[in-house]
Amino acid sequence: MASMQKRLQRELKSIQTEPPPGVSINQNSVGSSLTQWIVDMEGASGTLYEGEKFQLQFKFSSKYPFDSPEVTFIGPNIPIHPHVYSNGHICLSILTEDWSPALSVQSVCLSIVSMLSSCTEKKRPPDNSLYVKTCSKNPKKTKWWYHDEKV
Amino acid sequence: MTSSLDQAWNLITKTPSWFGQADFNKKEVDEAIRIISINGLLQISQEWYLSSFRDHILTNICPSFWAHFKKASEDETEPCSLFQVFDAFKYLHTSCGLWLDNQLIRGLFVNQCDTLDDFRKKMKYLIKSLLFFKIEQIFNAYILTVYTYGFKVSKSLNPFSLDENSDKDESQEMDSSGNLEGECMICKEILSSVDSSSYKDMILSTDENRMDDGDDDRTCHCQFIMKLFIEMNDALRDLDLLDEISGDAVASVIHNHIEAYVIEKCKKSFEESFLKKLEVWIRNVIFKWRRLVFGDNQALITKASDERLMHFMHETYAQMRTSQMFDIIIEYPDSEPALEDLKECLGKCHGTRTKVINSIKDSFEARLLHPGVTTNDILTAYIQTIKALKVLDPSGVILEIVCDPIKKYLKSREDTVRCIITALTDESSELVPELAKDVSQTIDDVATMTDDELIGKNWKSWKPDPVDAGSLGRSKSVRQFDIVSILVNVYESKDLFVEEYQRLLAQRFLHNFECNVDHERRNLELLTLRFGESDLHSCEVMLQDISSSKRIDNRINAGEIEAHHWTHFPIKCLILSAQFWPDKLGLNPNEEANKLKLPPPVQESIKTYTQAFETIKGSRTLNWLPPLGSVDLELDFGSPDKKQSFTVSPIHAAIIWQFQEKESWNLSELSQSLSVSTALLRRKISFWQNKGIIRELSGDRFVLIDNQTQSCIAQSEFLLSESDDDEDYEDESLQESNNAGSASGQDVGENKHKVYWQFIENMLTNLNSLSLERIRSMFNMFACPNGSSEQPLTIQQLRNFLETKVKEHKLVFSNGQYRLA
Amino acid sequence: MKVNIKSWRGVAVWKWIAKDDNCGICRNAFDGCCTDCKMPGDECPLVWGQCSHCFHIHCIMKWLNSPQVVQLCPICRQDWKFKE
Repeated sequence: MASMQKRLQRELKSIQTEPPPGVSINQNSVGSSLTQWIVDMEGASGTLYEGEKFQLQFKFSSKYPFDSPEVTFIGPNIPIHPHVYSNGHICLSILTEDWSPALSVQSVCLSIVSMLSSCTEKKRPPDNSLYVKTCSKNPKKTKWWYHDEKV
Repeated sequence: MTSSLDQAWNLITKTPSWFGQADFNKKEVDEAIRIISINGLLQISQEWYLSSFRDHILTNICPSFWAHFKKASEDETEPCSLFQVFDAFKYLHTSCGLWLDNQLIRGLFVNQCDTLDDFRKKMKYLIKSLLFFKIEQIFNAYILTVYTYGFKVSKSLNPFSLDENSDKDESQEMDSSGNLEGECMICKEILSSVDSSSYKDMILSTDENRMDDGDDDRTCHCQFIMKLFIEMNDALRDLDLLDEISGDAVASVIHNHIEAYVIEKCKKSFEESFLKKLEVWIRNVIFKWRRLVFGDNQALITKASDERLMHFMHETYAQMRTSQMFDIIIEYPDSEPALEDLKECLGKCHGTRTKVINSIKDSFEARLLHPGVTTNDILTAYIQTIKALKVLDPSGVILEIVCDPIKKYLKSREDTVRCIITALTDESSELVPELAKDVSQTIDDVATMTDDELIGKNWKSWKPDPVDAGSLGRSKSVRQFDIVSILVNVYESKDLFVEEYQRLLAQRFLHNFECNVDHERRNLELLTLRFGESDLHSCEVMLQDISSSKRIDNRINAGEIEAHHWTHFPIKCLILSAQFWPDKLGLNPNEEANKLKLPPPVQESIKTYTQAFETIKGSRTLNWLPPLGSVDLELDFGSPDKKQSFTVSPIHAAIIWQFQEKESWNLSELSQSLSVSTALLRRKISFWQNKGIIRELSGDRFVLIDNQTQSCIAQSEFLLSESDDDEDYEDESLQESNNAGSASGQDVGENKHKVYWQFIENMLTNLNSLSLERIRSMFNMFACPNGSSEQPLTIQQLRNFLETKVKEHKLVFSNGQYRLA
Repeated sequence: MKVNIKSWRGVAVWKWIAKDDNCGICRNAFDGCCTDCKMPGDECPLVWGQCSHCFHIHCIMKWLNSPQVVQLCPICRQDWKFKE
């Protein structure tokens, strides 16, 4: 627990002092235990999501960074994207099997920003309605079949 | 029948004028009373008797009585009035006595004892109201004199010493003010101005009697005066006048005496408990004397009045101690008995708590919390206060109230944290045992505990807070007497202390490579108990660094690593874990100062050392911090008696090294070759100037002083050059041993001058810069307060004094303000 | 004049010879220690992989011991092999 907090403390400090473009930490969401953060995200200019605002929720287990964080979109605006389900779950390999302890909140955010930015058509994943009805609350419990590696 | 009644009435109405004459006919009087009684005129006669007494008082007694006081009225203080007062009351008692008891009055009230008593009360009431309806101030003064002497005489006769076992010595000692070498000063004083012949005669006659008795003490008439005094009191008591006439005087004599006694006995010493002794003294001396005056079984002597006197004594004692609180605090633990006494008074005398609090606060304000006192002294006083008030008020409320100003004041001083940490960790400090005290909770634990939790643990010993605790608005749990916690809580945060401790520790190690690690480790362990492990983690690593540096150093210097052998001189290294040492020490190798170029042989040596390190610790290397550390070197001027040894910092060594190559350097040239800024270089080079080794010619050119002229130039140069005040290097300041104040002001004595300077230095340390006028007013306020023997300084004297200090480079004067250089 | 240095006491900080300053896993400085250690240096050494990336030994061991199919370098995702 303590080592997870120490690492998150460091990450929080660095993301506060040098936030990546379009990403900011919602300060009020970060409790003293640091186990849950909310990140505000803006659609990058020149992309399909320009001007849109999203919220990402990070949940950390005590095994972080050896265990990946649970990351979902929350709030009123869930981006319409082939890898984002309408319940906010994200199909992104680094969040599950490709996770590495060298990754961080910052790098996850950047991956998601770049995932959104590279989208060419706003649409839900093809299996959206089935998935949303049947999935577990925790996206990490989904055995993802990654749609394609390019996006 | 009528005629016999006439006769009887005539006889009776004539009677009063016969009082005192032995030759009136008892039978006739009895007969007359009988006739009057038969005729039912007894009541009228009684009324007539009272009215005649009234007339008699007004026409005879009153003028005669007051006439006793007329004579001496020109000089009120004359002690001879003592005898006039005795006389006056003797007269009053005798003349009224004739009326109060005689055959006639007994006849008028025959078989009516109760009524006679009531009647006499009426008569006495008449005396009181007619004679004393208006009492002159001067009369009261006489009475006071009588009782004052009455008390002194009783004391000198010492009739109180019955069971005064422990006080025996003291009462004799006390009497010595009256008895001098066997001669009684008191009665001598009383008698010296007696011109009333009758008394002189009486006194002489008693003297003769005494001589006949073969009494040694011929000169003392106290016995005689005492007799008169007791007679007077008896007379007054007889006339029901005692309380009216003497009550106030007795009370005031007793009160004055208690005050004087308490102050005389107890003022000087805090090291003895006095209350019990004072109580014994009150019982043995004061109560006894009161009984001597008032007699026994009097309504005047009640339990309540005794208690009031005892209470007055407690109050007097408490008041005196209250005014001495500051000194009592400073003298703790020697003053513990005084504190215990005062504590007892606190419980007995209402309002004393507030007075104690105010007294301490005021004296702190006046004596402690001003710029002329060093932070260390304030801390010492603070610690004393904590210890002393723990005895006085275990609830901690007084401590918290009075220490609030100290806390605020300490917070405003920059060196407070350092002083506290130094005090806590200095081997010789008295605080070390405090630190080592067993604390079951860390500072955080206690601060977050609620009252309920605390009470839950010790509910049996729980006591309610004193009423003044309410104003603090703080939880009881925060109030405690653990000195270390209190000191640390001056800042309400321990972070600052931990930081300062880390800094101090770092400085200690960097300044003194041979620093005692074990001692510091013990300190750290103790501090860890207080502050918790996580905050002091860095310090732990620092200590570890010191130990492992020594190990590595030994291995390398022992030649364990073959590639490494010393060609030049022994080199030692302190190897630090950069992440855990304070930031501000210049540990970042990229810092400007770390570019300093060391002498080539040194560079070579540290390179070899680094290689050896790399061999021992694979994958690790060393980044040297050239300006840190110290160097022993010797300057050789060519002949054996011209060798000088120094311990200097690396930059000093680097500078002087350059001068063996070339005897004359331009500042910028030197700055380039050493990679040091000119400003820093100028500051550092002054060290060698002070030593008389280097001299500044002109325009930034420095030359090595030729060995022939070296010594004589050193002298003159020394006084002119600036001292190197870089505090990073204690070694230098130790060696420099600058004779401060060699050219002192002439109108101020050498010793005083030192005291002045210390005061001004403290003041400027704390307040940064001050104008001449401010310095003078503070100086005169604190250093030479009114009534002290010190003469206040004149503006001119002070200016001269400060100017000398400016010349000595101790002060800087700019914009009308002085500050420390 | 001649200056004879009798002895020199210097100060240095030690450094790991590594490309980065911080451990990619715990984000602490290499010259510090991993989140579970107290003392840096000997007690919390670095290890290098064949991919030339290095970590605090305790950090990489924790990663390698966590349940996963393949053991990859957290940074370059190559198979992790300790450098001899």
